[in-house]
Amino acid sequence: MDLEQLMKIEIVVAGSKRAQQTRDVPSYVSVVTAADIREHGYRTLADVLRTLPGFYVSNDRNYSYVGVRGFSRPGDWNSRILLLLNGSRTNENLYDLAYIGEEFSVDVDLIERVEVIRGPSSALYGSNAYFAVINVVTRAGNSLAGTEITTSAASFGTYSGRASYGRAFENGLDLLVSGTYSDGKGRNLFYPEFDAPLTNNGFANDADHESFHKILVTASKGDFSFQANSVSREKGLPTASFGTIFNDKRNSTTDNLSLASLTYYRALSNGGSFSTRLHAGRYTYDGEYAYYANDPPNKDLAAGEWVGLEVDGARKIGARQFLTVGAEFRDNFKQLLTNFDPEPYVLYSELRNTSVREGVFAQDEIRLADPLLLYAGVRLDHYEGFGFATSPRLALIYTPTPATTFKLLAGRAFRAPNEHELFYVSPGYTSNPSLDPEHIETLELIVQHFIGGGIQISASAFQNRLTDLIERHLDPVSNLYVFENLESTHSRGLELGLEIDRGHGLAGQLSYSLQRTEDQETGARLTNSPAQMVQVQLRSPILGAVTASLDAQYMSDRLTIAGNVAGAHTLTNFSLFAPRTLGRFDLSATLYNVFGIRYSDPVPDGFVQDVIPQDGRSFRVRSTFHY
Amino acid sequence: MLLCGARLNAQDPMGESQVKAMFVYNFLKFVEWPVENTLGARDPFVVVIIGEGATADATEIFLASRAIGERPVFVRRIRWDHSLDGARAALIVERDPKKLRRVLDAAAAAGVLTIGEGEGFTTSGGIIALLVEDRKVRFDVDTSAAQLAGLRVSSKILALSHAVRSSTDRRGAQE
Repeated sequence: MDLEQLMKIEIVVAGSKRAQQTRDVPSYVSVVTAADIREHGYRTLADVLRTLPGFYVSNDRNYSYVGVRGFSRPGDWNSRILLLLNGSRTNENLYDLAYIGEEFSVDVDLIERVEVIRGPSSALYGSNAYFAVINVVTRAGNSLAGTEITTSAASFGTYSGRASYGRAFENGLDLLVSGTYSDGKGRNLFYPEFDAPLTNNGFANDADHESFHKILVTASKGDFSFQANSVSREKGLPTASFGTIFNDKRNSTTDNLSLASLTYYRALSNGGSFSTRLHAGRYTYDGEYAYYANDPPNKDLAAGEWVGLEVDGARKIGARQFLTVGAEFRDNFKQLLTNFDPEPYVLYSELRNTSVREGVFAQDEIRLADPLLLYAGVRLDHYEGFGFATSPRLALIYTPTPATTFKLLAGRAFRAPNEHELFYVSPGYTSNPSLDPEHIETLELIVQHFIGGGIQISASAFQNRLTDLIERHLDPVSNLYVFENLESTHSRGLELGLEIDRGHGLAGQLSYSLQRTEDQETGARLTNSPAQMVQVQLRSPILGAVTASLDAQYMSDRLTIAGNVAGAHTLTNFSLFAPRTLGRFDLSATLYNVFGIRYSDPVPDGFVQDVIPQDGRSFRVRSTFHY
Repeated sequence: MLLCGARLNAQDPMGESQVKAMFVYNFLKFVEWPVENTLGARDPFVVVIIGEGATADATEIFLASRAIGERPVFVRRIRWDHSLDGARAALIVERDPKKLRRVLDAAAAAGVLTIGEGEGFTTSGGIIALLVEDRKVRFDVDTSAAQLAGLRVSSKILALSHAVRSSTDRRGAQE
C-alpha cells in the first residue's frame, strides 16, 4: 500500500484489539519467521518444529511425528496438536492428522511466520488443541511484488521447483498464486533385521522415492479473505512396515489434502471485532501394501469430506474487560475407511460414516490492575459419539515492569477418538466403537525477562497429567491390534531459554529442556521420550549481505517399544544464504547433519524394526529468482 | 511479535502497529541520503529498531521480508547506546528524554533517518513522528532536523504530512 492508501486506513486502537503482543498471550509462545526459514535452510515444518524448546521430531521414512514436552505416542499421526493454516484448521476428519513433513499443505518458502502456542487451547479450539496450537501464516501477495521462481537440488536425487506470483493491486486486492513440484529418488537402505538371502540381504533398493505437488491461492480485499490449497504426496515405503514384502517397490502411500476457506473479518469501534469463516476440506489416502508376490497389493483407502462454519465476536466491556464469544459447526458428510484385496477381491472392511460436531466458547480478559491480566475461558463441545466435553482455562499474567512477565496457566483439554481409532478394521486390526475421549490437565509457570543488550531469558516449569490415553495395543485374547483407553501418564519438566539479538548482525537462541514422562501407575518412563534436549540456533552476516547460520539439536536417549534404547544424538545443520545476488537471485546452500552422526528414531508397532536409522550427511542448494 | 491471543485469524485486523509499520516502509522509499552513491545498488538497507513495543515488533516483522529498490532491508534491534554505524534509518521508541536526545544527536551525526511516535518526538529533534488522530495514522515531518542529518525528504511525503515543521528557531530559543 502506498502512503495515500495508508492515510485512509482506520485502525483498531492498540491495546484492545485481538492481535496481541506475545507478552499478553496466555501461553508460552514461539515465533519462527520467514527469515529464519530462508537463512537456516529449513525444508519442512518438521525442520522448523525441531528447533523449538520442548519440541522434537521422529520419522519412520514415511511420516514425521512431532513430540511435545516428552510425549510422542506410537500410532498417533500428530492428532494431539492442532495445525492451522492462516487460522483455519488443517487436521482432517479420519485420523485428525497434522502433516509436518513434505506432505504439509504449503511450501515453507511461502510462510511469513509460524506461531507456536504451547499447552492446551481446547478452551478456544476444541479437540486436538492438546499439546500445542501451531498457526502457519502465509505471505501476502504484496510481499512478492511480482514473480518468484525457485529451483533446488538436494541429496538422494531430489529436485524441486516452485513458481509463485503475487502482488497488491490498485483496487486493494492482494493476490498470491503458487505451485510447487518435487521429486526424489530416495536412498537405497539397509535393514539388518531383513539380512537374509530371501529378503535381498537386507537391502531395500529404489523403494524410498518421494514426490509431491502443492498449490496455494490466497486473495484478500477489504474485510474478505479467501484461501484454497491442495497437496498431493506419494511416498515409497522401504521399511516393509505392517508385515509387507521387503524390498517391494509397490509398497507406497499417497496422501491428498485440499482445503478452502472464506473469511470475513470486521473490526468494530471500541476495539471489538466480528468474524466468520466458511471452510471445506477433502482428504484422501491411498495405501498400497504388497503382501502377495503374484497378486496386486492390498488397498488401504480413506476419504473424508467436510464443511464447517465458525463465527466469533469480541468486544470491550467497560474499561477493564474484553469478552470473546464464538461458535463452531462442522459437518463431516463423508468419512470412508476401507481395506480390501483387489484381485482376487476380498473386502476386509468398509465403513461409511457421517458425523456432526458443534462447539461454543467464551473467554473473558479482565485487567484486574494495571500490571495484572486475568483470562478465564471455557468451551463446550458436542460429539454424536460420546456427548459433551468441557474445556476450561485460567491464566494470570503479571507484568511488574515492561521487561518482565510472569504467566501462571491452568487448563484442561480433550481429544476425541477419531474415525480410525473407533472403526478401523483390516487383517490383524479390529475396531473399538466404545472409545472415550482422552484428557489432559496442565499447570504451568512462565517467566520472561529482557535483560538488555538485546538479550531475553525465559523459563517455564510445567506439569501435564493425561488420563484415558487412546492407544493401540495387541489384545492378548483376540491377538488383534485394537485402540483402547489405556494408561494415565504424568509429565513434569523445565524449559530454559536464552534469545540474543545483539543488533550488529549476530542473532541466536539457546534452549534447554529437562522432562520426565511416566506411566502414572507403574512409574515407568514412556517410549520415545527424551529426558533432556538442548537446541541452539545462531545466525550472523559474514560477508556483506551473506549470512551464515548454524542450528543444532541434542536429544538424550529414548526408550523403544521393545524396551531397547535409541541412543542420544546431536544433529547439526549449517547454511549459507546470499540475498539478491546479481540483483535478482537469492542463493542458499545447506549441509544437514554436518558431522554425519548416525542415529535412529523409535517407531510405532507394525514394524519389524525397533528403530529406524535416519539420514546421515546431506545437502541442498537452491536459487530463487525474483522478477 | 503480533499474535492473536483469542483466535488466530486469517487476516489480522489493521492494527495501529501494522499500519505504522507500513508507514515506516513508505518513508524509507521517499528519503534521499547523501551517501547514496557510496553504497552499492544491492547492498543491504539497514534499519535499526531501538526500544520495545507493538510498533517496534510490527515494524520488525513487516520490514524483514521487504526491499528498497533492489536492496534487501535488514532489520536490527539494538539498544539505545549502541552504534548506529551502517544504519540508514532508525525507529526509536524511547521515553527517557536524556537517552532520546543522545540517540537523536548520534543519528543526526551519522545521517540516519529517525522515526518515532508522538508529537514530542519531532520537538525533541526527531525527523518523522507518527501520530494517531481520529483513528487514523498521521505524521509530522521536521525538515530542519532532516537537513541537520543531511537528508532530503521527498515532496511526496511533505505533501501528505500533517505538519511540516522547521524547529531551528525553537531549538535556538531553548538553548
